[in-house]
Amino acid sequence: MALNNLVNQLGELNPQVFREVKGRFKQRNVLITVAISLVGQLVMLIGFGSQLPVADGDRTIYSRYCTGVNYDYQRPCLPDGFGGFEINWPLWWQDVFVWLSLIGIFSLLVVGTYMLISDLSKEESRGTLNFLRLTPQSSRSILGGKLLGVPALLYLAVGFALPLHFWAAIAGQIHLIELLGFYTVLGTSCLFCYSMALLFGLVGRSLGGFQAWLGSGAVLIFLWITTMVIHDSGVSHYPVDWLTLFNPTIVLPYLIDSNSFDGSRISTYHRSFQDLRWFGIHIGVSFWSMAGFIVLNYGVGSYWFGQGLNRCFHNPKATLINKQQSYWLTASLEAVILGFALNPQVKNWRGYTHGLEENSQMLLVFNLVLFLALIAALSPHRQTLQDWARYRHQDRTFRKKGGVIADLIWGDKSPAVVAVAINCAIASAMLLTWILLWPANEYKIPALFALLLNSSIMMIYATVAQLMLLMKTQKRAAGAVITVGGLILLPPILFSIGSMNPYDTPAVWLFSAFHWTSLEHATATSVFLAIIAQSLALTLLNVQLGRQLQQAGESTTKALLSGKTQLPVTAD
Amino acid sequence: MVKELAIDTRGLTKQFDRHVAVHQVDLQVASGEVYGLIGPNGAGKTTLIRMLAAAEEPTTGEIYINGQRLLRDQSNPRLKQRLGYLPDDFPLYEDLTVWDYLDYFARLYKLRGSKRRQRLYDVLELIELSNKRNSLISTLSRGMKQRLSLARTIIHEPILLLLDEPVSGLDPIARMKFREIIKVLQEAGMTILISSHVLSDLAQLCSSVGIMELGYLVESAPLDEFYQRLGRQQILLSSLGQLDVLKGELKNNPLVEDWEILPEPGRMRIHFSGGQEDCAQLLRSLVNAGIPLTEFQCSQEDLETIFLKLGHQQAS
Repeated sequence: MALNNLVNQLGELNPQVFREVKGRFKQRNVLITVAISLVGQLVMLIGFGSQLPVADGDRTIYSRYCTGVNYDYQRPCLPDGFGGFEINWPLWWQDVFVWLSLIGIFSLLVVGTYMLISDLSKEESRGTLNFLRLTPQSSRSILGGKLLGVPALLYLAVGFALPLHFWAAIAGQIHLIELLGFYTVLGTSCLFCYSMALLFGLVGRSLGGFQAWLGSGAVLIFLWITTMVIHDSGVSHYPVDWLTLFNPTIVLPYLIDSNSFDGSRISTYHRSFQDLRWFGIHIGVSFWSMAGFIVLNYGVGSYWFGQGLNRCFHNPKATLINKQQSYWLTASLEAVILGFALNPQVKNWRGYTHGLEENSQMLLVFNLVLFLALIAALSPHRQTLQDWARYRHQDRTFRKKGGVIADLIWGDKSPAVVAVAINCAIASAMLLTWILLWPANEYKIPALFALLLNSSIMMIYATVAQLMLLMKTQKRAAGAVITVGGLILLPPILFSIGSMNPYDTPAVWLFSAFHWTSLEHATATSVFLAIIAQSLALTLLNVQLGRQLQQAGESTTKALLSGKTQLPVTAD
Repeated sequence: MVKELAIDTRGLTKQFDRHVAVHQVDLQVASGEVYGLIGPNGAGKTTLIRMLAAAEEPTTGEIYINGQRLLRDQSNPRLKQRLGYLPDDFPLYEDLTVWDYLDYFARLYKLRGSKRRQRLYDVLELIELSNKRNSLISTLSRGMKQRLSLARTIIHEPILLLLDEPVSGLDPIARMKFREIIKVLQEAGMTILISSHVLSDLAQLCSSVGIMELGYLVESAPLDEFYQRLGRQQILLSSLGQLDVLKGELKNNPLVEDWEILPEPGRMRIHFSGGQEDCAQLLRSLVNAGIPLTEFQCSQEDLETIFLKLGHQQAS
């Protein structure tokens, strides 16, 4: 009864939460969830209990939780005078806390992602989401409700584990305030991950039932790899350090480390992110600087996902973000990632500037991923381009706003090539400033050429993708992914098969996305030839795109008279 | 006095690839009207209704609902509050009960507290599902689900209802119930735009009709004007005597356009261009001529006949 009242009150605030909770909080489901949570906690406690030392005659017993002096993982157990052993209980509880946190993080992020993608793609394919779009509710209200309501049973299971988690933290002498900080990090990580899941659920429905598995599988693999990196490797001083900040387990060592009872931790692995720096700021130095930066990171990410969600919820055929947003997105992401590239790993035999060059190459890989995402997010599909090419002149605001050039830079429905070029310019300008500030000139020229080649190859990919999305076939999105993917992956594969490595035959590598591997070994002539050839290819591709757009914009009468099309056969 | 327009579209066009589904449609529907949209499959009715409901973005053109511009974003929540849209497929949440489903949508449309509760009872009574309010939606019949969908469409008391093929797949009794509900809504003052292939239903419900073909709105007029302009008067005659004698008498009347011998013995249908007075005159002349008439029934050509006669036979 009390629960019903609570749900009812919640429903007044957000109807979507009401619907999700009503649909899920059936007595049977609730009982099963609570049972899974409690049994899981019990099994874990039994597991940890079994690791406590048990007397075995007169033999010296070793255990992680004993108190004898030994700088090893296992310590000798000292008798407590009551027939048992002295136990390092705070350490035992800290271990319970860490494992409970790890299970909680993985469950919340992986299972929650699965639930949200599955729910949204089901609603979209069934057509019920359209009714929600037609209501006066805002996208924030509906999707916020989904975010809170769809994983309601998961929240219930986690909620039932909270008392033990809290108790383990207190018994493990973890600072309460830091524990609350950890919950904040976890909360924002859920917001980030779930926003991403909602967006993927909205835009990736063509993947069908596989979509939820793909999304949650990707999150699982990401968490798995980064947890390994956090645990085993630590800070690398490469820009990829940024990625580990998207895994909330990174703050766990800080919670333990601030008050550790584990004397065996003489290695530095738990302090491995201590030296993490962003634009020289030591963000890894304390729990609060780390947690603050992570929350900020998640916040910026969630903001951009929110922008995409806002657009795509009301119009699923719209591009993920508009062109103006893309410029800000590129600038903000470049600024964030650049901060992690300024403090490179200095290898004795090469030196500081070479470390910077290595980091700049890594930034180019990051830019490859960023620009592929931007191309996907900005490129309109055939119907939108046709409408733009055919009817843009009828738009009263079109001429007022500056005609076709302004529309290519700012317009919502225009092709993405010019916008990608501007994004390339923004990213390159930021990297260029950094490269010019390097202390030694030795690596500057190859780095600048890499920047130029990178921009030109991105533009080629963007034009190819836009051309593919203009095709008549139904599977044009898949076609674009396969073609661009092929252009990125096939050259290195073919070069490898042909035993053409970047050192011996650098010229051919200049035509791949991984041109930076060969730039050091390429001659200036071959680099210039590669730039000219790529520019030529880019020009030809854009001429073709222009012709196709012009054709798409012809009136039916004109197309009929020129014999390019037949009278349409109508179909509803 | 000029009635306010509930729907006003200007040059509304929707193009799918090279196929123009809706072409430069200027549709005007006055407030309080029941407007029937008819046309063969693929004529663009569903696309037009989807655009009016903001479920589809027009390629070009503008839509005004009660004088306010309708846009497909979140800039017009008040306008959405006034619209009710029932698509031809009616997806529902099978895991909810009838009450919870309607309660959910009532909340989405910002109905609060006791007012919401009362509205739910009223709507359930209207659609005759009060006794099923605690049943899971998955257990309802198709007709019940269709009525529940209508209930969802009207829960927030919209002033404009857009119904796309609302009676398709329903048995005659369910159709009749649906018709009655629409009449109640009409009496409550809602403007209703309804598309249907069941033209007899539309003839009973509508005050105006529009015909769509190949994306064009080729006819749009009040039903009376439609009958007057395009429908002919027909008279059913049955005689116990020889039909040749009857035919001879009919030839004498210049208002008889043509006739058709029906399969039943002694029965024929004539098309008559005169008014009611002329009908009475014809009957008088036939009786005076000693023809043993057993039936003389004047009627108007029905909507279906008119529609077929217009030759709108675009294949689906």
